[in-house]
Amino acid sequence: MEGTSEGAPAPESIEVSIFGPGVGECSVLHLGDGKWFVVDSCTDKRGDPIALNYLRKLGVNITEDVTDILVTHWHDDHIAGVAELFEAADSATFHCPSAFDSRNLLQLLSLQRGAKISGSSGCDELANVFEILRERKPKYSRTAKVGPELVKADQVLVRKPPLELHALSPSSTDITNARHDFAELLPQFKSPKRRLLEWYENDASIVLLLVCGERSVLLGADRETTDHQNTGWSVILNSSVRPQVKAGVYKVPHHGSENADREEIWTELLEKDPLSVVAPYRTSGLPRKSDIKRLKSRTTQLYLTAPVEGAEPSHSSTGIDEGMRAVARQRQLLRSGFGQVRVRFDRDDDDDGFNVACFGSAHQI
Amino acid sequence: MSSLDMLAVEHSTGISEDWEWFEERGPKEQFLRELKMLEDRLANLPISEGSAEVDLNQLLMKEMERLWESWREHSLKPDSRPETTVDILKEWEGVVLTVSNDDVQARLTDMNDPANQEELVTFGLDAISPQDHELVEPGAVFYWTVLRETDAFENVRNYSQIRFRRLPAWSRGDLERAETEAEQLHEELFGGRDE
Repeated sequence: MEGTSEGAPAPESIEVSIFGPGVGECSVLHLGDGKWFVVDSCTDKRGDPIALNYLRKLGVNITEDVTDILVTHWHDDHIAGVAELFEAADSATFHCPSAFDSRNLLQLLSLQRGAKISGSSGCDELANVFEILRERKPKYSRTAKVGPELVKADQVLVRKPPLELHALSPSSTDITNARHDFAELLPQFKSPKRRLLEWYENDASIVLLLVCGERSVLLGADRETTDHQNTGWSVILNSSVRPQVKAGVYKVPHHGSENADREEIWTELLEKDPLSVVAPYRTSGLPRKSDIKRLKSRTTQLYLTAPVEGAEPSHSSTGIDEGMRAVARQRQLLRSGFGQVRVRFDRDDDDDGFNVACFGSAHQI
Repeated sequence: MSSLDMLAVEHSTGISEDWEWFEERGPKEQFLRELKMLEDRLANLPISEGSAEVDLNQLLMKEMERLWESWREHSLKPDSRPETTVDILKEWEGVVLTVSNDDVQARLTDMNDPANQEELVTFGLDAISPQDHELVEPGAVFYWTVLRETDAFENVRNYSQIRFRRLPAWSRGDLERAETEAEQLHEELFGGRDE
């Protein structure tokens, strides 16, 4: 698998690998002793789940050693390929935001599936995951619940001393808002069928904080800022329940966009000059030049997993490119220049710093 | 030499300029085929009894010029050339992501080989037929086809065609079915508890 590191981490080595092919992102966490926790999913240029390929390359027993898969929210760029990954990770627990138990969401998934509109979508991925969960229900079991683990703020998802993985969001208000959004997205009778692309807000996404002794990693998902104290980054910053630590590694939220950034995140939640990683989102042209400039003013250790602009497509027949150029104002490959930013540190040695390495198109800027 | 042969000589001389024009644009065989068809038609023209040969020649010449002009005009229309062929070079299915001012941004999936990389493309609303404009909004599905047109003279033109898919509306049955399925799935996954 091009663009990724080789060699599995030692049992005591904690790894946080952030992958980004240009559209989509995925974080693969080694929580020690050969056990893996995957956050979000994206696919490579062939459409294969990147996390699955990476773990296979490392020789990980996917069936037994991928213990958890979590989707921070259901946008296409964070969920692509997750069903295939979950299918392979037979014993993994599936985590998702609390709002996913909404009947309206399940109705949306059913409608999109029935509409038979082709093209990749977070709806299909989620529907497939729920189908796998349903199939995994033990036969003859009368156990009512076989669903995913529903995540909300201030939950501890993993506790393996000295390591803990905390969910800092979504808040109760986020969950209520997300349920409202699902209801709003339900189509009306006689309205034309459409591919449901995304819901508009990222507020219900799960922000994670990995704490290991003196070192911490903050994974910001697509969390954005809002005007309300009970939503967005405010609710996290105001929380008295969250671990009062500062992270030295930061997965920058929402592809480095301005509306996901706040001064207080850098002063209250992060160490000075943290190692910060941005996964681009070409569909929105994120991060913009102004975003890079702003982020560079906040840290000297800024990394990109892939170039912001994708390579221009080139087809074997020149006629195809000529025919497209006549109409297209701009063309780029969605997933080109894929890369990995890998951070490792020793779980048992607090003096061991973060060891960072870039693979593929990932680079420091 | 028959009057028709004389006419042919006269005709060839008279259209020398047209001949050069024509040779620049197509194979000589094509012209000769057309000329033969003209001659056949001329040979079958109804001729009134007792007409003088000179009158006949004038009549034939006039008719030939008329047919010649008619043929030339017809041949100049690209879409009516009889031997024009159109081949599909590539076909994508697209989903509109954003519509901003006159720009449409879309994601394209290769229909010939879905394993190929998806493309992100931006194009103008002016590339879409006016009757499809009402369909252009996020989530709309369309087909983007690149075609190769080869005309009778083997001139090649590659061009794009964008057609929006007119999806049916949600029916009451669709909505009710989804509600039932959702309730059933909710029961299995979450025990049907209140949200």
